[in-house]
Amino acid sequence: MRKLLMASMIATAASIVAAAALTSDYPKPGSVDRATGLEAWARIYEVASHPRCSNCHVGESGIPMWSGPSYGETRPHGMKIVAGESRIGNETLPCGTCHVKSDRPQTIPHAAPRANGDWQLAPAGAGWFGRSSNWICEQLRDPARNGGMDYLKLANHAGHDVILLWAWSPGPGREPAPYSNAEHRMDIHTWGAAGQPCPPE
Amino acid sequence: MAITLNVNKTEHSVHAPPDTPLLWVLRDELKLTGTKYGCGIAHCGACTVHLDGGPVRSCQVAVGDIGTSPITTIEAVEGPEADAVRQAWKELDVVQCGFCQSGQIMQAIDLLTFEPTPTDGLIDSVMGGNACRCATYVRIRAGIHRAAEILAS
Amino acid sequence: MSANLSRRGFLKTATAAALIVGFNPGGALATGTGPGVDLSPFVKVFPDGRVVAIVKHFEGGQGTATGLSALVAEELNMRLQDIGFEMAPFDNARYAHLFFGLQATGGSSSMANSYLQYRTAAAATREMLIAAAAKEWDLQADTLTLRDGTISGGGRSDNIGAFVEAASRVPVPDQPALKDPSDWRVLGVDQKSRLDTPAKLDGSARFSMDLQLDNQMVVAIRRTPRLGGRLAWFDAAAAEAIPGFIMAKPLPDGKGVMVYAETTWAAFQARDALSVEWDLSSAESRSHDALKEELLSMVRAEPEFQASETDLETTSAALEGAAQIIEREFYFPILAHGPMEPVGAAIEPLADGGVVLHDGAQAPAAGNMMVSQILDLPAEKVQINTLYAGGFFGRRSTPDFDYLVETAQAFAATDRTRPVKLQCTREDDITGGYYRPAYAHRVRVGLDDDGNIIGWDHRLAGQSIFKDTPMEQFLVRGGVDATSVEGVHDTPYRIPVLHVGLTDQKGPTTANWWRSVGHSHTGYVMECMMDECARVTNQDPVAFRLNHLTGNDPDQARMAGVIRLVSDKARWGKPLPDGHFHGVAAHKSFNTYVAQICEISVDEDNVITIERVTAAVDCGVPVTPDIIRAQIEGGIGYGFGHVMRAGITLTNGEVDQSNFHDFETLRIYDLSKIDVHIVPSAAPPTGVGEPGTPPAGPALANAIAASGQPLVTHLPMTASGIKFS
Ligand code: FES
Ligand code: FES
Repeated sequence: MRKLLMASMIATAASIVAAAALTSDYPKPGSVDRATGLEAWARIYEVASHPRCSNCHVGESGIPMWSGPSYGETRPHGMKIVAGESRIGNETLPCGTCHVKSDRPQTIPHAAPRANGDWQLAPAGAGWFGRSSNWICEQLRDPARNGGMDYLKLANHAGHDVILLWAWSPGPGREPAPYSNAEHRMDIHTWGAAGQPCPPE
Repeated sequence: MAITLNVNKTEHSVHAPPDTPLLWVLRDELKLTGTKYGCGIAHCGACTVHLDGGPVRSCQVAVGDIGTSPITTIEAVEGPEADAVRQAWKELDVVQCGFCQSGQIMQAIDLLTFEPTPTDGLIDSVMGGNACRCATYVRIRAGIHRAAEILAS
Repeated sequence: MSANLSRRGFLKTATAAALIVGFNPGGALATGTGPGVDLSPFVKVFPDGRVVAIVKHFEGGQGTATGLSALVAEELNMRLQDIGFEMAPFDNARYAHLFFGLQATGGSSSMANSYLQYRTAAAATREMLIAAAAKEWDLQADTLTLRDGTISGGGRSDNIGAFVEAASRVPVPDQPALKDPSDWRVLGVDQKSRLDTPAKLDGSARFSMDLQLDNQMVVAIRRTPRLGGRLAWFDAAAAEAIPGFIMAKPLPDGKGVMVYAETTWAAFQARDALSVEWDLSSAESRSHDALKEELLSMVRAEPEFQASETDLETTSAALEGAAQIIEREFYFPILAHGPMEPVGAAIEPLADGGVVLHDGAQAPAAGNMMVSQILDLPAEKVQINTLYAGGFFGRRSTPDFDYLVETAQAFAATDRTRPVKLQCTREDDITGGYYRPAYAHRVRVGLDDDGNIIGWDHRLAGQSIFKDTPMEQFLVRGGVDATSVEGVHDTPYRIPVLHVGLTDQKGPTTANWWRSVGHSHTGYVMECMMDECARVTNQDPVAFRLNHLTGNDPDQARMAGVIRLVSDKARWGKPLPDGHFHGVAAHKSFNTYVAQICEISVDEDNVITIERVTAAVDCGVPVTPDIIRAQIEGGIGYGFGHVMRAGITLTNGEVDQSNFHDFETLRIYDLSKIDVHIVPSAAPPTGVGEPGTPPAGPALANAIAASGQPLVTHLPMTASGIKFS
C-alpha cells in the first residue's frame, strides 16, 4: 500500500461532534412500533440517498459522483477518477492528492471536499447510489453485508466517521445532507428499536 | 505567528495564517514560483508538489496542517525519476506554454516512482487530474513512456 | 532606449562590445554600438561567440521564441540549440508586426511576417563577420565560410567572437544574400529543440504571475455578478480583518472594487470578504435559452447584411432548380478561453517617473498606449518587459485591453511608489465576459441529380467582435464583420451560387477573438454540411470534397492536397475494426490548409472514444516542422475540448459556470494518438497556431454521424446527448 499522503497534525477529536443525546435518551429495543420505525427509516433514506452521501456510496464501479446546480444531472466525478478496490485511489491517483486530510473547514467554493481522515469511498457493498429505499435498508440491516454492524454500531459509526460527518458541513456551494447528524443518529436508534423494518420494494 | 516549513530540504520560517494554502506561501513568501496557480480548487494540478514524498495539490493544503512533513517543489525535485522525466520532456519537446508543466512533471515523477513501466491506461488515470490547456497530452504520455525507458536503461 | 533598458536589466547583454544588427527607424538594416546609435537589434553577437536573437513576438507556447531564433541560426549557419534569445523591448516603430503596423502578436502570423526580416538581419550579420575576417586575414570574403561559430578559410580559422569588434565597423550590406533553401540545416529540419524548454522544466521560466517585485502590492478585483452591472456601494470593514489587507478602491468605471494586499492569498480573501452592492439596472438580465432562441430566429429570418457577392434572391432561384435541398441549423455556445495562466500584469515605478509594465505581452503596443494614457505619461516613459505567457488563445489581448487597463487603473489609484501586480482568478476568467460569442447558422444546400452542389444559402447570426471598437474601420465592411463570416464566403470549395447573410446579435458579453476566431464555428458548419451532403446522396465524403476542388487555382489545389494526403495516411476507405468509424474535415484558415481524419470507436451503449486523429497541414515552407506538429496537435486538442463538453450559459445575466469543474477542459484520456503530416512546400510560410482547431470538431462530428448517430448540430456535444468515455 502506498504511503499515506498527509500526516495530520491536528487531533481528530475536535471534529467529532459531541453526542447530542445521551445514550439514555435513545429508545430501548422493542419500545418503538413498526410505523414509527418506518418513518424514521424514511428520514434515514433521505440522508442516505442525498448526494452528499450517495455520491460516495457508489458500489463496485468505484467511480464517485458529482452533483450540483451547474452540472445539471448528477454525473461521474471528472478527471475519470476511480477509487478502485482500495477505495482510496491507491491503484491510480489517491483521493488524498486533492482531498487532503484536514479538520479546517473547506472555505473555497467548489474546491475538493476534505475531512480529518483519509478521503475515500464507502465500501463496495454499500452501493447506495441510485438504489431503492428497500435495497439500502436491506443492506444496512444485514450484518453479513454491512461489515458486521448491528444498529447500535451503525449509530455509533454515524457519529464518529469523519467523512460521514462532513456531509452535514460540506463547505460553501454544497447543500448539506438533510436533518442534523444528531437527528440522523436518533433516527437510526428509533429504526433499530423498532426492529429495523424495511419498506417494501 | 511563524510556521516552520521544511521546503526543498531547508527549514523556512513563514508568516502566514495557518489556513493559508501552501501554494501561496511557496509562491509569495518563499518566491518559489515554479509551482503554479491554475484554478485554486484542485481541478488543474498546476500546483502539484510532493509532500511527504507524494503528490498533493498545494492549493488545497493549509500550511498549518503540514508540520514537519517535507515539501519538494519543481525547483528542487531530484532523483532518477526526475532526471528521466526532464530528459524525456526535452527529447520529445513536450512543453508548449509550460504553465502546467511543473505540475505535470511532479505528478509524472511520482507515477514512475510507484510504477516504473506504466501502461497508457495507468498514465491516463494518474495524469487525468493535470490539465493542459495547450493540450500537450499526446506528448506527455509519450514522455512518460520515454522516461520509463530511460529509467530501465 | 537600449541603454535605459539595460539599466533595468532586460538586455543585460547589450554591452558596447557586441556586434548588433537590426533595423533603423527607416526600416533599413543597420549596425552599431554605444550611445547615439538608433537601432533596434534583431541579432547580437558577443565577443565570446554567443549569438542572441531578439524575439519580437511573445512566447505563449506557440513556439515563436524558437521559430524566430531558428531564422537567425540558419543564416548564421549554427545549430539551433546553440543560439540564445531575448524578448524584444517595446519599440513600436521597429518591432512592429509587419502586417499590423503595431508591435503585437496575433492571427497566427508571427512567422509569416518575420520570415524575411529575421533572415535578412542574420544574413547581414554573417556577411559582416566574414568581411571582417577577410580583411584581417587578407583573404577574399568568398573564400571564407562560417559554420557553428567558426570562420575558416585559407588555412585559418577562428571563432566569430574574435571579429565582433571589427565587424561592427564593416558597412552594413544593402541586400545580404539569404542562404539557398537547399543548404538549410536548421529551417525545415525535423528536430526537437525548443529553446524555452529547459526553463520550463525546473520552474525558472518567469510568467506574469510569477513576478515578485520588491515591495509589491497584489490586487484582486471583485467584479459584478451580472455582466454590465455597476458598483453601487461597498464596505471593506470585514476585509480589514484579513492579515495583509492594504486597501480597497472602486474601479474608476464602476466595474468593480480593487482590493490591495501584501500577498495574493490575502488579496483573494479580502476580495471575498467585501460587502458589495451592485446597481444591476442596466446589467444583462437575459438567460441562455432566450439568447439561443433569438439567434436561431435570426437565421430563420431575412439576414441583416449580405456578406457575399451573390444575393439571396439569386441563390434562392438557383436552389429552386435543385434536385434535392439539405437544410440544417447549428448552434455554438459562448466559450471562455481558459489559458492555463489566468491573466494579470504588473506596473513598477522607476526613479525617473516612468514605469515598466511587466506582462506576457500579446500586444506591447496596446500596453504602452493604455498605460501611458491612464498614468498620463509620455509613451517613451512606459517600458515593457515581456514575460512568458501561460497560454493565451486570444485572451491576452481584448478589444478593450481589459486587464492592462485594470493594471494601470490599479497603479494609478495608489501613490505610485510601490509596484502593483494585478492577479485575476480562474473565476474571473470563466465568468468575466470576454468570450467567443455564441453563433447560430442555418444552411440550405441545393444539389443536382448527380449530387453536385449547385447553390448554397448560408445565414449566420451572432455578436460582432470588431463593431464598436477602434478596429471596426479595418474589419467591418458594409455592416459585415469579416471575422463573423470568415471561412464561409471565402471557402475554397467550388460553389456556383453562394449567398452568405449575417445578422448581428446584441450579445451579452464582450465578444473576443478565440483561437481561430470565426473559423471556430464556420469550419464546423462548412465541414459538417459537406459531409451531410455526401451522406444524404450516398457519396464518399472525401471524393465529394475533391469533386468540389477540381479547379486550378492554388486555393483549391492546396485544399485538395491536404485532403488527399490525410486520406492516404489514415487509410481512408480501408476496413476499420468493428465499432470504429472515420470522419473527415478540412478547412483553410489564416492561409493554412488543414485536413483531419478522426477515428472513433463506439460501444454498445453509444459511448464514444476518440481513438486517433490523422492530420495533414499545408502551411507553406515548414520552417520548424516539430513546432508545426505540436501546434496542430494542440489545436486539435483545443478544438475537441470545446466541442465535446464546454459551454458558457447565463441565468438572468449571471454566468452559470465558474471554474474547470463546470467549464470542462480536455484531459489526457480524451486524446490518444495524433499523427501530423506536413505537405512539402516552397510557398511563403503561414501560421499554425490556430488552423489546427477548426477541423477537429467537424471531423469528430462526422465520425459520430458515420457511426449512425445523428449529426450533432448543437454544441457542446454532451448537451446534445453524446456520451464520451
Ligand atoms: S491550482 Fe491547485 S489544482 Fe489547480
Ligand atoms: S503546456 Fe500550456 S498548459 Fe500545458
